[in-house]
Amino acid sequence: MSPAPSLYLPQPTGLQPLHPLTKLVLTLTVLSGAISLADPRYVFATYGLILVPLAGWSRILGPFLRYSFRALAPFLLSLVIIQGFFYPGELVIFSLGPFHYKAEGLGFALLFSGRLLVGLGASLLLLLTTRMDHLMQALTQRGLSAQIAYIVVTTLQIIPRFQSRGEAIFDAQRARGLKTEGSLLRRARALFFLVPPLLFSSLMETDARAVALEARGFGKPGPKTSWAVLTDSGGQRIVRALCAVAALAMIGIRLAAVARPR
Amino acid sequence: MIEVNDLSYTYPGTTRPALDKVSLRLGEGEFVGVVGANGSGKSTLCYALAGFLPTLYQGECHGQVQVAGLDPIRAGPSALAGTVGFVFQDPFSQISGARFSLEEEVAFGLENLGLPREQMAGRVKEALALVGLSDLAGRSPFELSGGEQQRLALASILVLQPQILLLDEPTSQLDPVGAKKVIESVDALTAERRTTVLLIEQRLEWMAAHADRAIVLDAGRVVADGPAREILTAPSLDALGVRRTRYTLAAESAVGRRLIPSPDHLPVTLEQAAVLLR
Amino acid sequence: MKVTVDGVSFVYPNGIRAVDRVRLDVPAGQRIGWIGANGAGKSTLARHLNGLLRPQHGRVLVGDWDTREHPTSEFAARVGYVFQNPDEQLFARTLWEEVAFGPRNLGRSAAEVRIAVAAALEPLGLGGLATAHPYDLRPAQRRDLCLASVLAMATPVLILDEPTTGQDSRGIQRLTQVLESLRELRRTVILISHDIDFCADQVERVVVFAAGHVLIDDRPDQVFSRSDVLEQARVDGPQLVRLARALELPALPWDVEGFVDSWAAIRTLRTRR
Repeated sequence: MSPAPSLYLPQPTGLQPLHPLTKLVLTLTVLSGAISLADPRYVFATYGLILVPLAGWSRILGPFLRYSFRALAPFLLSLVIIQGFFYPGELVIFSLGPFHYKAEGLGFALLFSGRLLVGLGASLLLLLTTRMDHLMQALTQRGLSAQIAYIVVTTLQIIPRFQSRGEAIFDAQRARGLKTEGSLLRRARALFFLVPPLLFSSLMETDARAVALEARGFGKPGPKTSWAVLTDSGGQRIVRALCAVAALAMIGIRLAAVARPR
Repeated sequence: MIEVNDLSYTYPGTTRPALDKVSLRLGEGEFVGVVGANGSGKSTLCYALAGFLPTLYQGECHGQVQVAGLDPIRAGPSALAGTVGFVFQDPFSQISGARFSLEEEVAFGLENLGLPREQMAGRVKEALALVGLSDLAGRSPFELSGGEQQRLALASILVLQPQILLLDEPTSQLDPVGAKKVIESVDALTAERRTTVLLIEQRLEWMAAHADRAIVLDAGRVVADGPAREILTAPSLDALGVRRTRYTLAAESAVGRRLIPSPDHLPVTLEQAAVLLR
Repeated sequence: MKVTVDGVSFVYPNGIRAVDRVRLDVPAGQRIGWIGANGAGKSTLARHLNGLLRPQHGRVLVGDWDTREHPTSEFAARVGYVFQNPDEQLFARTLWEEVAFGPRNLGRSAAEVRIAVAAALEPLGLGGLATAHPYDLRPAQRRDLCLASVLAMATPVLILDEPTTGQDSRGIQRLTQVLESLRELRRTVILISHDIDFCADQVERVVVFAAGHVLIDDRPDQVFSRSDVLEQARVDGPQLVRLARALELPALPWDVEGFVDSWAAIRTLRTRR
């Protein structure tokens, strides 16, 4: 069996004990900041001066940095190379034959990478400090439909579920002589014997689960209750309101700047 | 508690009815065993009682069904949830997938029924204890073995305290000693609550230890219905895909060879055989 | 083909010691039953026999091959493994294609494959369904299909993991006949089963596992006479062995006629006395 498919790392301090909505609003505020700020230095400062300290406070700095950079590295590299050469501009930094590497391109690549980094970081911070089921419960209490909340929570588990089931199927096929080692072609061919049972067994299971959920009253109309207790506080409500105002303000300023005729 | 009149049902895309003019009455607190070959309609009968037919499977459905005053054919499964509890064969697909500890998984059904939170803890704890999972209450449902998942599936239904419990081979993945214990505690609990139980089980030895009554299905028809000991020892079972216990077969052989006088009923269980052959 | 398990241990990443210094030789052609409670280590050990798991200590030999030196796909020619969950292997559009998969992987000729597929489907009652889609079968039939797909490979060693789960008496009858034919072919069979009566009828040797250890390894009648060991392993003996004990008789045969013969003989002796 696969372990609980979640990035959540429980800690008694930091962001973890906060109400899920507080963390969601915080994430959205940082995201709107990343989109609104036009100077790469401010964007990177958002990551370094807001997200990193929050991760440290929540005692997840190690995984936070690891995941951020692992996800960003491929983008960073290709953005810095490709945009430098092909972004329109005049300030040539160096040339490779007919190709000129331009400062405008580098600037754009840095801004874009910075926004990606902040976006990723803010989402990671949410995922690492928040249980998805609790977040969905909080949203359900604010009017989100229970069905949608269920789909969100279970969809996040599809990948680990596929992984563990895929391993079981691979074992069964290898035990019947399927060669999975060797050339790329051979490995690609092996997928042909992996995918149908993977899809079939997953569909069967989803079907059976839908029936089983009905039998446990999932589709029953009327109010639902919750086992988990989400603690909230006046302080957190104020933080959420301030964040929302800040986010709206940043987006408003940005829109005004874009709309202003040059 | 349950009343079925002339119920016939055909799955979509098939021609042979899975249930063929089934009529059945079950009283409050009865514990009834259901036996028959694979494909004889045992699971389909449970689906009908739980309101899955035709709501979830479409197909042709005729006849009347009444379960605890409700009509499952019209009302569908949601209306019966909490009244009818159904434990399926495959345990993994019964786990919601949306709860990350055993406690929360067991509480899931109570949340759906809108039970106040103060009443949940006690019921969840009791259900987990009953199936022997108390020690794993905080564990993730995804980390369980097949047998443990089966225990969890049972706890998730027992916690709802249904008036009617449909058990479709609920312990097929447990080892015999574990399975016997689980069935014993389910029997004790349901007897105390006067729950009506319908148990599908291949191992007649345990069925007979708990069921007062048994019915036999063959090709969608009820072909026998009566006291468990009488039904589960009938020689006709051999041709219907049901494996009688060796206690029954040994006693039958001893009677056939005139080693013992013909008893009123052949034994199904160890205890019954020991009395007869002492 | 002989199977040698030489001091094998295996600890899962979560720290559970599933197999603990197991030593076990299975001579060619032997039919051996592995019994024990859930989590006793039977399936984990079985997965070592075709290299799906590699021993962390000790070694496993099948014939002269060490499982650490060949990939599982090569062991498929020597060890057939029938898994518990059929839905985690069926890929083909017809039963015929599904069953042909193994023999083809082993490089058999088209003519050999045809013969092997027919010979594997027939005894399981699937001969008439060769062109049907595997997903249209009932769950118990899908299990039979998995068995057929392994039988068609004609491996000298065969592992059956809980083959009676979900089978009615007709299915068990078919399984019995399949095992009978494997006996005539002198195949090595490892039968993992909670169905003790079925297992006791089929095997000439029983190994009882508990917490990754072998508790006892002997002839079935010897093993089943040790109620203390069975209790320690949390397994029941065959029904008629338990009945004999309840009647305070010495261990009797567990097949119906054998039991009644012995029971009658003992009773006659006692009444004469």
